[in-house]
Amino acid sequence: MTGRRRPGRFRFVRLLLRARNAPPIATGLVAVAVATWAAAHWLATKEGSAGAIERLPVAALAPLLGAAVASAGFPAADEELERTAAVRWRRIRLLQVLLAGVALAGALALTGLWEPRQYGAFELVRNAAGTLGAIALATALIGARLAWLPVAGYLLAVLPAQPEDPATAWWSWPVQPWASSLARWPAAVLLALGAAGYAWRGARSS
Amino acid sequence: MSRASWRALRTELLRGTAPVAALATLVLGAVLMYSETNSWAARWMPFAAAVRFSTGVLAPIAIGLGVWQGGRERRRRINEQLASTARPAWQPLLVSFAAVTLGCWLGLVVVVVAAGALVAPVATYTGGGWWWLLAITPVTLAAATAVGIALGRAIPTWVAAPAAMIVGYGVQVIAHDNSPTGGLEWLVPSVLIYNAFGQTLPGQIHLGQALWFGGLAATMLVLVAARRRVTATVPAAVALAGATVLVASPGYGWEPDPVASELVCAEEDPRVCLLRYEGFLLDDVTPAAQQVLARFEGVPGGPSRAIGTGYDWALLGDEPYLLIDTGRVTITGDLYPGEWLVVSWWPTLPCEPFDAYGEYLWLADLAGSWGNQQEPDPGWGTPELVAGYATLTALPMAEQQAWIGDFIAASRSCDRAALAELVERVA
Repeated sequence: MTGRRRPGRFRFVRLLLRARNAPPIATGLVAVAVATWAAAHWLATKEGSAGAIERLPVAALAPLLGAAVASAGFPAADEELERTAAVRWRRIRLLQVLLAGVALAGALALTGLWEPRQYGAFELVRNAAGTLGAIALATALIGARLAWLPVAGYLLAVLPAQPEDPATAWWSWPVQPWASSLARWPAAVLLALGAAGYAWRGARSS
Repeated sequence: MSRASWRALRTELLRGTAPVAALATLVLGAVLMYSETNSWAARWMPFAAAVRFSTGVLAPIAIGLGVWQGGRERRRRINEQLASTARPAWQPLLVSFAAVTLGCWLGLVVVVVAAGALVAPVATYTGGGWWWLLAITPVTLAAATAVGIALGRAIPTWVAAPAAMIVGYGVQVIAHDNSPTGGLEWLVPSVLIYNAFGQTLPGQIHLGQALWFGGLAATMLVLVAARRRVTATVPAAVALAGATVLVASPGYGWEPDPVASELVCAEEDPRVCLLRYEGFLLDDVTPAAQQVLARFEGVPGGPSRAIGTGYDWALLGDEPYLLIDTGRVTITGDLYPGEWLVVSWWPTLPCEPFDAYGEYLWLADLAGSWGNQQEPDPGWGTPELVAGYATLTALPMAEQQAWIGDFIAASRSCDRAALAELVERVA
């Protein structure tokens, strides 16, 4: 019995990964990481640049793009059909969000190791967690189709404002430096809510 | 368009991407305009520039939604079915484009009308051709949607929409940050607000942008829908002509608006004047400015007018004046509550050689501190300045005013002997 179950479980994982677009998502995350490194390097070294701190837009927008790529695995090809399977989907979905978060944060963190606390690895990881959580939450609430749109709109609205008042960090967390401890909480809360919401409900059919 | 096309458009507007576009544009436009209230409140040209500034975000959103719309038939796997129907390819494309564009326009119109209704009753200057700046806004959104739809048709991937949106945003930032001559920044939808104060744009910029964005939209649509893509060369030529006008524009485009920068003054003496485009603040600043001016009554040669920042000081010649910095204004055009209205005096010391300037600069600081009633902080002020201020303010008011009058006379000609005597009087 044991000998038969193992290949079955492995086959399930392999099929699930394929069904959730894991190979193209992995390739996409590598491409996003390369683009992130190139954009950050250009901003930090261009003529007249103030250095690492100029990477702020990259630290805010690269996690969005990466999370949009990773969220391609959130909806099933046929949500209703999938739910008929006698599988513990909630655990699998939770694991999926967490794995996507680790992959995204890891890929982006590698690109920001230089001056990591000045819109480098630390901010990239924080924003990756918050952005992926927000997209996962939007996937559960409005469906995967346009889950990136409210998150993108929010980021694009916050980015030009760039408020410096530390008291605004709870709503302007994507553009705050790592030193702002208040900015870490919204990202953590969004990740928790997104993971819980997606794990509980899955992608809303749209 | 046929009746069937109108019906399709109506369905798209009600049930397609259009409501999402309208909602996104409305919410983001309102947030962006509200966050920049201080820049545009009660002033038409900055208001129009603020609307264009918001397209820095709204146009990328329109691109993203356009990409989404452009790839919809493929995602729904109905592109072959649509292609097999006996309708020209441009009809469904035009319906898709019109639906997203009208959605964006609807959201924008609500924001513009609401914000404009706040500006209209307060603004004191309506000229400068600000409406042309505003009129190009829908054209920029139409171009963004068309570019998005073309990209959506060409790139069959999930992330094309957010990626195109981010690239659209980045291109605008780069165009504004890295355009030494100013020409390239006119090729993107957004406009920087701070250039709009007391300035105007020449007609060639508006014309160039209308041609560029209109031509770009038409080129993208023709490329997607036309049976013979070579026909896209016609709108492409129009876009190129517009781009050439914009890139070849001398300087950075904005020009001083002499009428907007004229002084408008309160009727009662002493005179308090602001630039015409911020004349709506005159009633608010006049009492405070007149209170400071009253301190100079009886000072020979002292300032007799208070004038708002931004005026061309060369037009005043040697006339001494007080400077009014109004600070931020609220959305209804009032002075920001709890914020200082700064009315200050900064006497000049046109001395050459430079050593004389360095030797007596503290006297100018002393006179300024007296005029502004601002005791020098021992932390930054030199000991002679701090001691001189204490000595001067200990004198009777008439003698204080006489000292200030003598300083104004001596500083005009940089009379070193007179300046040395003034030092003695506060030593």
